[in-house]
Amino acid sequence: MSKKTSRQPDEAASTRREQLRLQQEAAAKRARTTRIIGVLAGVLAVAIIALVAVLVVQQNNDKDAAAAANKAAQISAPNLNDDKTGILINPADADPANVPTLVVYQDYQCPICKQYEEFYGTPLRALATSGKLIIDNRTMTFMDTNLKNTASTRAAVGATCADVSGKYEAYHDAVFANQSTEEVVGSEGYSDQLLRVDIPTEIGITGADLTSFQACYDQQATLDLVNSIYEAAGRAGVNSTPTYKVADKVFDLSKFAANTDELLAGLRSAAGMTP
Amino acid sequence: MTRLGAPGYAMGVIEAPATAATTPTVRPWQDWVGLLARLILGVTLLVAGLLKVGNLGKSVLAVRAFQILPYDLTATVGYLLPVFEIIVGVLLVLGLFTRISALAGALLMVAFIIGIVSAWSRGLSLDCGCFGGGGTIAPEDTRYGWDIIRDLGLAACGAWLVWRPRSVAALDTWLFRPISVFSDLDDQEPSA
Repeated sequence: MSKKTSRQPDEAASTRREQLRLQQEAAAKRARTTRIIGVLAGVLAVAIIALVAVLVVQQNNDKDAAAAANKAAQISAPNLNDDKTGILINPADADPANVPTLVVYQDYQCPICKQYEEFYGTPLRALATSGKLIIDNRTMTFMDTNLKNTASTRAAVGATCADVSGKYEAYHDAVFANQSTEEVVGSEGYSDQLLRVDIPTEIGITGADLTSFQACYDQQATLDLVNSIYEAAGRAGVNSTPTYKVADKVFDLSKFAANTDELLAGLRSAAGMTP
Repeated sequence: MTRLGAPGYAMGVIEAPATAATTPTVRPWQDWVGLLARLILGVTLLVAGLLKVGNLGKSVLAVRAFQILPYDLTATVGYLLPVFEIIVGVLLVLGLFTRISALAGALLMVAFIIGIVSAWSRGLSLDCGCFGGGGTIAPEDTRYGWDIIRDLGLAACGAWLVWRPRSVAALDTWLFRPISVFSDLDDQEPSA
């Protein structure tokens, strides 16, 4: 403390000191507020940029898919069902009012789908061929996301292209028969060579048919169809494969033996038809 | 001005008592609990977000598997959720805006618990996809009970921090430190 001789200067000094204190306090308060708002703004800016960046990535992914689809005029598949949500097997021989329809959700890279296909494929196909069953195949492609490849989509494009040549069923079976035993993230899955040359040749797509099949495959002419079938399956609440449905209810195929009589009885009963 | 009567001033000691009072050398035990709660919730959210952000398509499928949100919302939620988890996780680890971050983290956990209970009660068998993965799995592989217990614990960490956000080693301590002009002033003499 400095020495003061009279009360008056001391009081003046005290007032000035008080003013200075208030000034400094106000300045410090402003600095504090600026600091807090600055940090808050910084955090918000980083957060908003990150969230918007992710949404932009999402939009771009959608656009890429659309752009890829625009590479060629998109075509449909001859055996597409009325809702455009699946490919029908043997619809011409059967009347859906008298014959049950089995809706099959599969992914070409799903290993359990392959097992079910090996176990139940033959009797189910026999029922369809004899006109006692309609099979509505709805191919999903989510394994592409899980395995970070494009093989499910390419195989589905191949199968729908094969439908144009009237070879959907044979192509479908050949794809599952060639499913890789080792499915690891980042693996290629079905090769283009397999899907556009080996399988079509094996099932007898030849000559001009092979040329147009390969054009369809190379230009992904059925990609829109494949994507819309997948989206419809997702909207229907199906998010795992294989899923089987009859009359819009899940049909537990594993309860049945793999013989045509037992399967047909179960399918007709699930569809509310007399056995 | 009551401070003038403080013993420190009478003795002529200038040791900035205001600063000393806000950061005592011995922190109360609650501050350490706060640190623990921040790290448990923050690191969990950070790891969960980072594991998902590498494959956002899969995150969408995991959201879809719950069959709660409308289909058109699932893509947006699936994309944004991992990023949101990372942001909240980082803020909690740093101890920045602890109360609001903890509230966000706790609400996320409540939402997850509701989702898991809902899936469980509807008889769905799915992996919650909490740390990547997700989707439908075999019924015997579900672990809803453990998921709910874990999320309850994490929600409790968030609730503690909402109630008492102060903690050790938090940037909030720096950001929200009280103004301290008093100690400087006492050193200065106004030029009378």
